[in-house]
Amino acid sequence: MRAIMAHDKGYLAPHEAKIIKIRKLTETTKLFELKFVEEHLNPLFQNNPGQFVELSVYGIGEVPISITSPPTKRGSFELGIRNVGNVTSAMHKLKKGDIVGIRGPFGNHFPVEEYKGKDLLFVTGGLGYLPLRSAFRYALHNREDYGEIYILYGDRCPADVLFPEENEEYEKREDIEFHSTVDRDDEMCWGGNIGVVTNLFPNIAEKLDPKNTVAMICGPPIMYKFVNIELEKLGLDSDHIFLSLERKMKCGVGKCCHCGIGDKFVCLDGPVFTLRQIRTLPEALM
Amino acid sequence: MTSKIISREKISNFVDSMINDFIVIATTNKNNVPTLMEISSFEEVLFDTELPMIPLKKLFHPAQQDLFKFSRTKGITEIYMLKTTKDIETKVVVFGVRPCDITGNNVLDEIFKENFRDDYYLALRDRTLIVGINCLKPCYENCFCESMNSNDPKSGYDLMFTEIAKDQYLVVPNTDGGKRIMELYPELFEDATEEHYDKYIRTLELKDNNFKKDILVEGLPSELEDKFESKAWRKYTKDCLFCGSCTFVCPTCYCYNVKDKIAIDLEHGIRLREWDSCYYPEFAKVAGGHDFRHEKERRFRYRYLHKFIDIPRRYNVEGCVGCGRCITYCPADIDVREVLEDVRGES
Ligand SMILES: Cc1cc2nc3c(=O)[nH]c(=O)nc-3n(C[C@H](O)[C@H](O)[C@H](O)COP(=O)(O)OP(=O)(O)OC[C@H]3O[C@@H](n4cnc5c(N)ncnc54)[C@H](O)[C@@H]3O)c2cc1C
Ligand code: SF4
Ligand code: SF4
Ligand code: FES
Repeated sequence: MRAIMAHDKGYLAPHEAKIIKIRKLTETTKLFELKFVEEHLNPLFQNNPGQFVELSVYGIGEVPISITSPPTKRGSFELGIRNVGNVTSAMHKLKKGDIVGIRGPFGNHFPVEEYKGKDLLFVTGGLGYLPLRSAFRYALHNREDYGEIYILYGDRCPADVLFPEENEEYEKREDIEFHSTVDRDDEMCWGGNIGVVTNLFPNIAEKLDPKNTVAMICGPPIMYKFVNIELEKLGLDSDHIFLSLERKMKCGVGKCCHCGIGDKFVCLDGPVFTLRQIRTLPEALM
Repeated sequence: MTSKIISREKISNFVDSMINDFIVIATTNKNNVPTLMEISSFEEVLFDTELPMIPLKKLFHPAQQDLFKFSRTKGITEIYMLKTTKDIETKVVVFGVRPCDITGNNVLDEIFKENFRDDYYLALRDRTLIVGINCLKPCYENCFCESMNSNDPKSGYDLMFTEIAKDQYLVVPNTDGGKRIMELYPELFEDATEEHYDKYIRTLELKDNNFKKDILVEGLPSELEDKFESKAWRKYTKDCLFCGSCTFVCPTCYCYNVKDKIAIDLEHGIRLREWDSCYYPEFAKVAGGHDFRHEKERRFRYRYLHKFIDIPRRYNVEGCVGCGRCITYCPADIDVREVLEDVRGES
């Protein structure tokens, strides 16, 4: 999808967007719904699952944030943001009606559209849930276009779990298989699985048809290491395993060099890569 | 061909005439460092001299560049790029650029045009004419342009001066812009004769003989890939101060950082970009302290791999032009040629 930007402004100048809704997701994470101030941009803005925007809090700086709403949401879009540093904490202080800057959408995407007819396996850990949510909600919106849909989600503790009400809904549905787990449950408030996300694989191993399945994964680097082993054990081809990588970013369009891995820029050639591609990129998974 | 002849003496008239019609930039001796800057007379020009410390890139990709002005609560209030685009009525001529630097700048042109056009860079680049001076022998001991195939660029300049006999230059236009400059000052040039062209050809043959290859770049990318774990990287990592000088003086280094600068009213501010260096510890570090290139050795190695593997693969051009600046200005005396040889020599 083409990025929204006026060429006379140059690619580093954002468009103003207004915060129209804020929802607390966890202690540290908030969901922001945004709309461009220039009305004519709203119908033009269209994201593919897994793409990101560069979000500016003017005066503090700019950061890459995945669009968590699916492409089917039009007229506005959602960003889920964890408060971890300068820009993200400034963002958490903003209120409904405040102005931020948006450039994008940037990057390639999870090939949900491209693999119609296949079985889809989504595996996610922690904040990786946010970009992947756009992908699986898109697939669910067009449920009849796909075979089986599996979603495996692991997070650190019950308090960190994102969108519990949506997850509950997935659990109830007959036409998808959703499993979640937490690493630990100190408060003893979690009724479900305990352990890392790879512990969920036995639930689907029997059913999964490796030749007909495409996996889309998003989570911390350490998760990739273990998930990839499981996926290859199941017999998935490394061309059918798609992972989203995280790197420091400044420009978002392949110019500032901050996100370089080998001859690829994560912002431009990624963030989504196949496992086969990643194996040819030195230092991609460390 | 519309090439012309000019004498050494008239070159000063040529430059002084251009000063009336253009903004002319040349290498000067500001603060005893060879520096590219605007000149007001040919007298300021260092003519037969070493390369400017900071190459051409600073004219199109300034070390620090304001992007736009913003209000914290309202957003962008003024974009500086519009200003630079309007300013470009006055053309800029850079006089006396060496072939390696022309080749180096071609690399940046390629990078800044790929996919998303960098209009900040290209607005400044497009208003600039480049007048080159041919090198007939290696200009100093750190030069290895021949190895990097950079001393005979086919594009990226408008005029090229080649000294074909003592104090006599053949001026070859390479673009319409170059032709037009020559047409502005017809009285300074003579028509070139058969004899001049013969001398030109002999001069170029002489040039070919004067340059030797220091390092072989054929096959270098895959060789370096195999030497990813070479111990030689570690050896040089120990010496490197990670000061970033090598990246700032390099004609093909272009990474930048983006920053907001806020005024004391805490309401207005400027977003700017400035040169960054992959040798700085913060370069790949993300929130929470995770650093994708944490070990110094990886950081040290990255610059070499980026120049000698990644840029050639991605843009189909050499990522180093052999200008030798990183050797000249390295406080730790690290020589890129030696590092490559050492890494390659390791089994
Ligand atoms: C493609 C992509 C998608 C992302 N999606 C989300 C998301 O949906 N939700 C979310 O909460 N976070 C997301 N992140 C991480 C988010 O960008 C960082 O948390 C954020 O940049 C931290 O900035 P800060 O100013 O708060 O922190 P500081 O530590 O103050 O960071 C300083 C600067 O470093 C850069 N930086 C720091 N950390 C990162 C990082 N992890 N990635 C890239 N640049 C960084 C930024 O330019 C930042 O301004 C994503 C990162 C990438 C690369
Ligand atoms: S100039 Fe020398 S010491 Fe400084 S970063 Fe480059 S190689 Fe290291
Ligand atoms: S790496 Fe060194 S020799 Fe090569 S272009 Fe850059 S400064 Fe010149
Ligand atoms: S973020 Fe600038 S090159 Fe990728």
